Amino acid sequence: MPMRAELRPPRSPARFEGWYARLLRGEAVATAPDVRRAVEVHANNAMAAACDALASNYPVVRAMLGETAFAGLACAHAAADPPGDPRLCFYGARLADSIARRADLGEWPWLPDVARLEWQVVQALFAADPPARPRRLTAGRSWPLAPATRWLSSSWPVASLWRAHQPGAPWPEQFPDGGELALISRREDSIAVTALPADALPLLDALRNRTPLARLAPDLLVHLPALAAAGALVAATGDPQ
Amino acid sequence: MHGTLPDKRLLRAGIGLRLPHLAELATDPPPLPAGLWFEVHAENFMVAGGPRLAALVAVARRHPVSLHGVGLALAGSRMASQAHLRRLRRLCDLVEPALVSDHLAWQVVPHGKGRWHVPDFLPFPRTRTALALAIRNVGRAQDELGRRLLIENPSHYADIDGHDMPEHEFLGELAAASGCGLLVDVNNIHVSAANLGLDAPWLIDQLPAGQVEEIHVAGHRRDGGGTLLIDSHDAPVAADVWALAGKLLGRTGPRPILLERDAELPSLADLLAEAAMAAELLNHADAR
Repeated sequence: MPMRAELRPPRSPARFEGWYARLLRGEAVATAPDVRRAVEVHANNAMAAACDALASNYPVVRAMLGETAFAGLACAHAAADPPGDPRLCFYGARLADSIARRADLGEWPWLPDVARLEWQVVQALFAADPPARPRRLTAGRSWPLAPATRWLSSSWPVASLWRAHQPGAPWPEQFPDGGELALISRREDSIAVTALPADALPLLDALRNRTPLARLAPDLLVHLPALAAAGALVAATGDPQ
Repeated sequence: MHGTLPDKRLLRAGIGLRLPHLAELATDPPPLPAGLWFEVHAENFMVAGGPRLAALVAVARRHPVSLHGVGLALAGSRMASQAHLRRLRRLCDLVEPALVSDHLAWQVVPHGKGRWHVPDFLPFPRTRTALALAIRNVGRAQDELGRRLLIENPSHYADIDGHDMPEHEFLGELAAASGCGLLVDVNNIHVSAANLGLDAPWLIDQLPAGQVEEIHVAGHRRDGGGTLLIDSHDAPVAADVWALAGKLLGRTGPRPILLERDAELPSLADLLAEAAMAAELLNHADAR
């Protein structure tokens, strides 16, 4: 139960901040009614900003749950794990973990991975731009991934689920039965989520580890055109053969 | 001294540029009035790259842009991190803003093992110690940025105890000691006056007019209980707030005026139409 806060707040900046922080966190209640109302306004404003940021960063989870259920999830997450960075466009890194802990969301077992995918989309959207000059490829060099490139291997068809929930996207007659390896890339200023064959995962790991092209097995090289087409690799010239 | 502000006569009435309007402005803008400028929330663009940042840079090539931050925590015992200051500096280098501003506020609330960033005007006693802290923080930020900052006056919902000085005196001493300018949000003054039982026109008269470099106008609403005015930025500017802006301009002479709208966004064209009121006030100020 929250304690009653002292009648007169401390005057030193650090001690005042500590006093007001207890009020904001709900660990104490101000004795003065106007301070109580001010705390409510500040706490509500901060929670609203955090929840709006989650709604903006997780549109597919929001569409899946509906506005009311998502708002409940967002408020609970924001109360337990509020934004620590002033950049709210990067808020919500741990929403998937919050979802996974919620027993009431157990009927949607794919939801944590959809949230993980959406977090990768956020990261991809704000990642550095690729170098303007094409990379000259040789067999002894690696082919760098574009800075925005991410991927997620899931037991659920997360790429198909994500794509089905994009504005104007057709709803598939059937979603794939198994999991998907989702490639997240940025191409011409928009984010693409592509389902790759599961055996492309070693190639992505090898490229992340800057493995020279000559050391990539032929069965991995077959996936390179799909990566290049998705914009997952930096622009390049030359013949890697 | 940290650089100089651009000629204030070049910046007339501006609008807060929010994300839904950014793409429209970067690609297919409606007719835009002369002297228009834009203010963006700096933290929304502190990213490594991508289309959002590219759109802002494109806008900044054609129009004056102001960066308005919510993250420096200039009145706090825990100021913004070095990393945050570096990000703001990089953004300044990219968009070459006409103005850079932040709030007279503390924002970092300990939460468990981490921290909660509260982007609001959390109150604090205006003591001599708090003034020294704010002077030090603003000085550090200006040194890191290599630029002069404008500092925005707070809005208030409660009259806390423990002040050593009135707000106008605190702001004036802060500006004089740190070299920063003042961004006066007249909606904050209107809201605070209503909530604390003060006289808003009198508060306008007390401001150190010579240190005011920018003016904000915005909308507000009454809270659910009907007892407080909330600085909500989700409605058109009230007539009383326009009147306060006109009164302040009468003291300062022409200054850049920015129409802020953060929620219940109208179309870009409607926002520009509302900003025409600010342009009219500036025309009156020119004629004085």
